[in-house]
Amino acid sequence: MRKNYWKKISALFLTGAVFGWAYASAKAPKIVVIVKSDGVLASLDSKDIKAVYLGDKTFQGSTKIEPLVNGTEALSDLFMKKVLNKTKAQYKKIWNAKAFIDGLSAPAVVPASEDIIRAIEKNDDAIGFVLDEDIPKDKKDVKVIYTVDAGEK
Amino acid sequence: MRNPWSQGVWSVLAVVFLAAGFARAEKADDASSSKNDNKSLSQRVKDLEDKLAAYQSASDEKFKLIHEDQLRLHFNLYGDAEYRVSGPSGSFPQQNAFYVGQTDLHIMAQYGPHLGAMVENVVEFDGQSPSIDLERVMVYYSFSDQFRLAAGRDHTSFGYWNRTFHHGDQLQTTIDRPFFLAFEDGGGSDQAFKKGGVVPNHIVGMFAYGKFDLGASSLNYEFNVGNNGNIGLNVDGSGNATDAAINFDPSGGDAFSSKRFAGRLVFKPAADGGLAIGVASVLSHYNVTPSGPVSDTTPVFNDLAQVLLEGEVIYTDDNFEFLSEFYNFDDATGLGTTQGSAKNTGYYLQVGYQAAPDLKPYLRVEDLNVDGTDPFFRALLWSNTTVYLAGIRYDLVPAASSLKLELHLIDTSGVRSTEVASAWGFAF
Repeated sequence: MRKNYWKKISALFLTGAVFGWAYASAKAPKIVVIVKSDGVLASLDSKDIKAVYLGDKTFQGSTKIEPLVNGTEALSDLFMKKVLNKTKAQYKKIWNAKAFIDGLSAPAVVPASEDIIRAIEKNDDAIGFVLDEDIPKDKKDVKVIYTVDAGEK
Repeated sequence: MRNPWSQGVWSVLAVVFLAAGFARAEKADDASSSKNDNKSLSQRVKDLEDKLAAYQSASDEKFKLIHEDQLRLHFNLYGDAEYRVSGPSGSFPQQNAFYVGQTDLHIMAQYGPHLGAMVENVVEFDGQSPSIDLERVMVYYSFSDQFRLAAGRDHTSFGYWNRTFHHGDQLQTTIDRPFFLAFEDGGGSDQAFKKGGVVPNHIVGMFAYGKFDLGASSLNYEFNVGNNGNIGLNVDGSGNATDAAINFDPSGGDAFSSKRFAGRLVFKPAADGGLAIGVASVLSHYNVTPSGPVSDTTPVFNDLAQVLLEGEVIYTDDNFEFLSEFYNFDDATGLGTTQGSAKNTGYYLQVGYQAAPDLKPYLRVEDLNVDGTDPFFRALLWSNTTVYLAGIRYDLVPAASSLKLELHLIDTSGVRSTEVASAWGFAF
């Protein structure tokens, strides 16, 4: 009887721990790549996003794409690591070469997430990245086209 | 008679009323003070809202300037300083000297999303006198990723090296280009040779570039039409050639009515991967322009038509590079009045490994094998040459500055020489 009791208690604790972990994971911030909801970039996929930020894709059809880099350094470093699979030095090296070979300019750096969101709302050709929690709930003009966990692992 | 009890009551009442008065006054003060606090709080909120609106307006304006049809100019500066020790292999070292490599001012301009221009000015130091070369200057219009049209002067469309590495040595792993790919005036080449290469690196004309997305793969194309060059030959008093170089933009323009054509295709099996396979071809006409009367043995011709065929297998990623290009120079095309040989080849193979984040050892072998009777190579004073190179690169400041140290073993038609070269490069 006592054994059953402790078994039930252990099961309860374990279940609680699992749900707690799941809840914590669901609540962990995520990096989201955003574009204007009804804009020309709404159909970009993860491969396109990487190509855009590394200078291999500069147009969507005949529309010049304007990639924006978040001025929050920690966030942009994480984006480069998780989405582009590059360190900051590698990213700089790639864009040095793109400038020299093709005359391309590196993506513009915009000070903060709210500036990126406002730029995206106003411009069909802009693409940027922010944390999901930075996007106000009532923002209908902004579409998330890619999500990745912002955790360090 | 005074009633002490009533006195006490009146006193208490007085105290109570007085206290009530004070309390009311304090409450009134509080209310008044609270009213004042509220007023200052609302004013503060309003001030903050005004500041936020101003900041947002400034930020929008900044984005507008970046984004809309405004002129954007970018400047980059590249260069390097070198120290070399060289000499015949049997009596090395014989000579040592410092050199200044090519100093490159690269300017990019963009107006709006489609129109742009690029200028690359290189200052070269040949002994005491610097010279300024306008290496690349072109205007372009990008219709889409599939089609960009340009005109001006650019690097001819052949070869990974010629299309990727221009005049900023910091961007390439090694100090020098493969010797047979040296620029026409000797720039970018090993000081051991002190002369231009055997390929038409630059072209003046019109260009089309583009890239096709093939799902997981991609195909890049390049096409040029432009001027032919000539071979400028300096001769001594006896009419023997002392040095020669390809002039890609000779004064007086193109001596030929037919133009130079070049085309290159590069296929990447995985568009975001490191492997690229390419082929290219260049059709050129050459004549020789001697500086004075020539001897009977000095090669001079008016129209030699050459088809340059090139193939490349390239693999690059963040840790490893494998570069290989193979060339065939067919001077027996039958398209010109002078016929040479079709048996002229060149190649290089280079491997590099990022052993540490800032340390990269590398190896390269370069080879030019020519028919000794071929008039093109005789005019350029080139013969069979092989170079073995081993080096190491240290990134002093990642992406901005590096130190390189190399050993070159050179064999020119059996004559061997050795060179130890070092360079400090920068790119801003």
